[in-house]
Amino acid sequence: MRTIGQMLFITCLLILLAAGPTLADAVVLDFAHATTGGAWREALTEIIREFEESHPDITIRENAMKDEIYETVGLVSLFHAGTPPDVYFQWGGWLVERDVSEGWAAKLDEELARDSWKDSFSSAAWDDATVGGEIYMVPHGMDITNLVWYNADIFARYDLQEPETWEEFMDLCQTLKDAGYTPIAAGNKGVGWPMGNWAGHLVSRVIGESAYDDLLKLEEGTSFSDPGVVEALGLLADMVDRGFFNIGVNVIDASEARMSFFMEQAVMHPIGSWLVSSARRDAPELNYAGFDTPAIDGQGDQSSMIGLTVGYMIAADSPHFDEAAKFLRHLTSVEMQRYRVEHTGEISAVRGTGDAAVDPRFELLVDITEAAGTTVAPPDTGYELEVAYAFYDAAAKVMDGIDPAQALQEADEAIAHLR
Amino acid sequence: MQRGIDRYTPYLFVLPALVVFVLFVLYPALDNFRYSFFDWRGFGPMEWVGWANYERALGSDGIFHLAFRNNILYFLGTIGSEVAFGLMIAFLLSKPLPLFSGLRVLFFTPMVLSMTIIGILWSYIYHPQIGLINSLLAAVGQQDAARAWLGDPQTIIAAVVITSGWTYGGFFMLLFYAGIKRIPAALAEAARLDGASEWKIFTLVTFPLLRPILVIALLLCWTGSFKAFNLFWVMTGEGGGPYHSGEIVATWIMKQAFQFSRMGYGAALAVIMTIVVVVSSTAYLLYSNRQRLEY
Repeated sequence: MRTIGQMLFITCLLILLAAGPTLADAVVLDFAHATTGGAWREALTEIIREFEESHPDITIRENAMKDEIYETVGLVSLFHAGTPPDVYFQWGGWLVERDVSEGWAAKLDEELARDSWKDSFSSAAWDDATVGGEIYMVPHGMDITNLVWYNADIFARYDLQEPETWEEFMDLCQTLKDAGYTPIAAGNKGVGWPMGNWAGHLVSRVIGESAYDDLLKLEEGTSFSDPGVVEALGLLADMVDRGFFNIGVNVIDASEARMSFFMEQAVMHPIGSWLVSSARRDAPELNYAGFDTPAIDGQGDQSSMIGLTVGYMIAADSPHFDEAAKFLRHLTSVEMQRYRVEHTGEISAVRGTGDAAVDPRFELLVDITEAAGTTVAPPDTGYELEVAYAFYDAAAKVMDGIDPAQALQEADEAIAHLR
Repeated sequence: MQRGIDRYTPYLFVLPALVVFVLFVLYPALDNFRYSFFDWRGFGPMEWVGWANYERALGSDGIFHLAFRNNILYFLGTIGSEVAFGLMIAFLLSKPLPLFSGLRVLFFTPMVLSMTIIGILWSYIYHPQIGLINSLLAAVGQQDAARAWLGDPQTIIAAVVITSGWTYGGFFMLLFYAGIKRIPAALAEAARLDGASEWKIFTLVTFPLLRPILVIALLLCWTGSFKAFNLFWVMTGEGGGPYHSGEIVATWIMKQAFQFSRMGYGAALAVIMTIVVVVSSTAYLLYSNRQRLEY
């Protein structure tokens, strides 16, 4: 018995000794992102598993946070604490610019040029990934930040059509309300990005994309109290007055509102293209479709969409740049992205992946993207956060029935120190 | 020689704690004070701005003023929901009746729960559509009184105050219960023999003798109201509620320092909050000590 014990001990020791060098050599890649649910979460798990299998010397250590936490304090805290991730998710635009100006992001031009990696991405994806002519983000997908999704069965029941104009949209909401439905489910708890983004799109449609850009960049002579901005938020105020939203919009978060749409407690739901991924997992039987914000009588491009490119960055101080690049090559390989598109129905920034989609809503997303004459940046990813949040506050106030002129004047006061 | 060692021995015992205090409290606090004179994003170069951060905080930052007012409201509310509630329960449960010891444990139980769990739990209780409160109102035919408790600027602070009372009421109950048990039973007995009612015994005998504990309870309540963070952060949607109606100083500091990367300004807000709490607490303790009651 004692001999068996000794043999077992020696065997374990040998195994440990054999494994020792491997464990010591393994690189742990810290990967921070905001994918916590939906079909993309499942696909990402699978993609990481395949990467670790094919690269036994690299282990991915995920740090996944809710998107709102991630955008506001999560990622920033990692950098401030001196524990930056090696690879991290980012929304293209101002946040990439911020990371570059803070010295957090690594330049990727050289890496992307190697083996023509760069050519595998759609050329439209680079605008949001580039700062000062240099690339800092590997594009991953295209998010349409706001669409109006609707329950197609209820539309069919009342013979309703997708509205072309804002007036038709209002008539549609009234018809649904008269029929006893809550026309729109919205959840705006927290910083208020869901309604804030929609409000941003409305502002751009009313005052024009260039004026919208100037407004949020706090250019000289601009003001949130401009009549056009007040008019745009007035569109939402009118909907609130007419009772088109669920109660407690500002106290329900985005995921709760999404679930209430899935559970058919409301007929429409304004949110981004990522709803497709959520629905594939949480409401696979739901018959739904979507449309872009209908045309408004304004100075902006009425075919515009609000959206951005999202992607992944490598931290400037990462000691594992090569391993991080290997992981991103794997993640954005055509094979993995085809798997992702098939699994989630989301738009990939990688060429040769569109025909992998099986979800009928994928076509809709592609159509909207292609039909969009202009792409408007969402306030919180396109512009400084403090300005964006002041604007979101104004939209949230309007959702609570506060007069748009007053709400926007208070937004002006909140960011006066930045002008 | 021996006498010399004896003289320094107490200081040697204090030294480890003093080192920890200096390293982890005093030094960071002084460093924070230094940061408050800079425009600094927490990363990269620091630009000296003098008193500009303080001028903004005390002058034009309406959200900071609102947050400060919310802290005061929260403090006033918790005097009722935590201290008064705890005192009342302690007095009632101090009677030697069956089940009362079990009830004391029950009232204390929320204290052992994570604040995040409590926040989430009460968020559902206040939920406008599926919440317990609105469901109860509907069940008794008061649908019109239903509202989004955490989404309404009129009710958001009160909603957190109630949750806070539910959580900390048991702690204050324990504090007062220990105080009540310390009061000699003969005093109440004498009053009872003189024909005093239970209410009179409480107001004229028990309550005045609990004064030292009340002083500490109010101080804990005051400092606790400025330390509050996680309950507000969870219940009001990453702090703030709709358009800052539920913002408190701590959440606003967090946002300035980390969301907007205005570390210098956040440091100035922290300095202001620290001065307010330390000065007011010290003044309060000095005033209370002058009116000490012994028995």
